[in-house]
Amino acid sequence: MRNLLLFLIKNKDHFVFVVALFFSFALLFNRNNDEMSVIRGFSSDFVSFLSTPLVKVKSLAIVNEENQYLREKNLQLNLQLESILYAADENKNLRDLLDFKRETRLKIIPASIINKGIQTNVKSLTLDVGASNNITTNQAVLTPDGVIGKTVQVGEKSSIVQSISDNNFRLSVRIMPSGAVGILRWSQNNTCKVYEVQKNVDINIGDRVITSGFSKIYPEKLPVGIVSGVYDERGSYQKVVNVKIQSDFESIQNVFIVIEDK
Amino acid sequence: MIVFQYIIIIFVTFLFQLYTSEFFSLGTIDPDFCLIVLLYISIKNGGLVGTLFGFSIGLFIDLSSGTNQFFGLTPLIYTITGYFSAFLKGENEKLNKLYFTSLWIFIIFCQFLIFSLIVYQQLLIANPAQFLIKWLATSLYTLVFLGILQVMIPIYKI
Repeated sequence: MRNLLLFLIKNKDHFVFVVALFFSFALLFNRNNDEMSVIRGFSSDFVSFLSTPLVKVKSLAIVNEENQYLREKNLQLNLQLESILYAADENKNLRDLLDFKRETRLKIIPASIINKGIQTNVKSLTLDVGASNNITTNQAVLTPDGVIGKTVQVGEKSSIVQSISDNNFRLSVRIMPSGAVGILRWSQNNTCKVYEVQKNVDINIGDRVITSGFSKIYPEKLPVGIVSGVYDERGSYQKVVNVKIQSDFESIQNVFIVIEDK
Repeated sequence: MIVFQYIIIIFVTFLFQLYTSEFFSLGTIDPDFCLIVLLYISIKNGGLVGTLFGFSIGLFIDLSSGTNQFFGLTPLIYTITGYFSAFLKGENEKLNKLYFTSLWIFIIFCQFLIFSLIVYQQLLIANPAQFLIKWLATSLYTLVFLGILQVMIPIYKI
């Protein structure tokens, strides 16, 4: 017995190896044992406890990534929404223009504004149509909401329009239903003033202002704006009428040029 | 006290393997940091410690894996690795560096071969080439880390 014990101590490395191998094989062949499942259940709980910090760190990293992704997605969707809204507005404007073109008795040519205020001495717009489109100087430029100017210079493929907002722009207008006539000029903030209106005519806020037809440039009955105020000029036999022209004057992109009255 | 020291080493190695293996994972191939530690401990401390350390850490890994399949395989292969690596204890003074290094590389290849033969036995039958790739890739990936460690702590000099 003593000799066996000495033998085992002397060869403990090999003995431990054999025992470890034996246990390993025993585990391998008894892996489906119920008691083993219980032990593994406990150890699994222990490992999941150890893994918890790592899982939390990972989930934080995922949250950060997800947050970043959602920000980007949000930005993309906002941009898409903006472009859709812009397209919807543009669609509506173009439909209005199309309706106007169908209904009007005038012979008109559509044009797009490609620049604004290129000349310093005159408030102007540059259009993408010119002499090649039968455009000449002194032709009325309008939108479905009203007159916005007249052509003053014409190139081959572009033309410059004197805007209604230019200080030197004048337009003979008629105020309906009274029929009073006057001369319209720009004032400020989408507002024009009509001068030389007889004091005795009845003008009310909300009355329509249209072109009088006294000019060779502007055919009669083109819309101009709506009366927003009336006051008497002190020391004069005339009254001054404030006219509100189209509200989106600065954002107009498409216009028509009146070639001739049908 | 020595036992307590080895328990701490087992625990730290296990945690390191648990926390970093996914980070270093290349597809289905993970580095085996436990094997690296086992190799160092066996060559430094001999057969008894190597075998016991291998069996203990293998058992710990299998208990933590939670899967029923091949339960007991990790203690088996780590026990074998620990036992045979221990034969290299002190051999660095007798063998030349190349021969010594080739031996522990051979042990690692053998360890992964046993592991692959058991775990990927279906693959061996279905596609031997794929099995070979799997075995070599797993072995080489762990060997890459062992190779990096040789710059800092060469096994030849421990």
